[in-house]
Amino acid sequence: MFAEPLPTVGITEILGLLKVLDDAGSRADVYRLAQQLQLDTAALLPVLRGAEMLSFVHTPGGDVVLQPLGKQVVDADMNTKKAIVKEQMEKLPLVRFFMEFLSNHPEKAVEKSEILEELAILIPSADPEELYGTLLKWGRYGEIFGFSYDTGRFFLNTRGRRRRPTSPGPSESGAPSGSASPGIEPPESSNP
Amino acid sequence: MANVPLLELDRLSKSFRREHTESLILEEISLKVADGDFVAIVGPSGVGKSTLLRLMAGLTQPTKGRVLFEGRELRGVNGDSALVFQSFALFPWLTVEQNVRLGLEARGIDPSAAKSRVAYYLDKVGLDGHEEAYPRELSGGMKQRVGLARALAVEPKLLLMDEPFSALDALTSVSLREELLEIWSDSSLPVNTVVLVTHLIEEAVELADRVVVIAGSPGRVRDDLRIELPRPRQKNSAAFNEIVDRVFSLIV
Repeated sequence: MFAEPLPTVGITEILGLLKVLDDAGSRADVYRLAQQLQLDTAALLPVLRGAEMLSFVHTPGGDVVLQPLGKQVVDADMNTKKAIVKEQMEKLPLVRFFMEFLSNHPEKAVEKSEILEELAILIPSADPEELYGTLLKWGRYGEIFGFSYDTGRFFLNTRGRRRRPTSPGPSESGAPSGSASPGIEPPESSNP
Repeated sequence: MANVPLLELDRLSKSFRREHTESLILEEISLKVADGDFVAIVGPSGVGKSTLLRLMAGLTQPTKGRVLFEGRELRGVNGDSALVFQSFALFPWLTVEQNVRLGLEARGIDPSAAKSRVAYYLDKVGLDGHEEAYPRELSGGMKQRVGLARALAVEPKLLLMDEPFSALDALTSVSLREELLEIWSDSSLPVNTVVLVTHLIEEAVELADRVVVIAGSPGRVRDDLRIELPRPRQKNSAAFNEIVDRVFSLIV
């Protein structure tokens, strides 16, 4: 199996990049963008790499261009953003590998050390701890994976099956996030 | 009641005692915040912006003048407000879920109601999937989402934010500002009034309906500008830059 390493970056930064690009008219020069954000070009690269892996941007030459899916993410509400990120993550070979790996365990969970071993075998060139950190960060955001410090186990998140609303548009009123997160009811307000 | 502002500062002054001398930090601050307002307070560091926010929260008392909340003079902690801090102020030994729930239990909300309320607000700030994480496992952006969920979960009428994005990197703060606006404009949430303290003028102009400039020593209200730019605001537009320049000129 060919699996690309995930860049060491959080999803929040990737979403920030998409917003900045949208504000800049969908296209920017990487060098100028780094200057504008007061970031090292080297610090911006993993963000670009992550956004590209999720098909939110293209990076032709020294530029970065917002793709239609990236624009959709910018315009979406928070729960739709999460659903799109999840969908895109599930297409990545590394993420799919671990989804399947965990599915095959009766408890849908393994010790963290097992994940590190698998990562070291799959992508020997990358630092497994670093890669594990990103896999967990992305996995938590997409509600695909989780980790319990109390049990020391990395697990498949089977609680929420977040789905993107079929037609993009304003989310349903009255029942906030109801369709996106089954089981979560709006609490009674303490303000009468 | 329609004409009574949610929050009113009435000729408020604050001084601190240092050794044997009194130093005046804020002088004669008068300010009204209406229900639904998004007010940003800007000014150079050390001007007393955070002190002003703490006065609104009732965490410190004015030396002179009054703080009125819904027309009544505030004496003691303002139970209808919640604070979000620059430093996140999370308990490291508690999970995300426990950090958010703690404030509810302190307010006497029963455990099962607290549980569903925590789940609801974690969802609102995009934190579901992180319930069992400890703060040390989270990036700054995720930590601040916990801080925000904790503040929202007590369902305050007034959300007070003290430099909430200043400890975050540029891209993370871009994301969180967007999310804050989404939450503020979400009519299904009880809180729709925000007072945010920042030293970043662009942040104030991007987010707020009103920018209150505090400057001088002691700090006084230098100006109170209404920002009429349509949302979402174009940060690269000439109109945006013009307002930023104007606020900047009031501070320096």
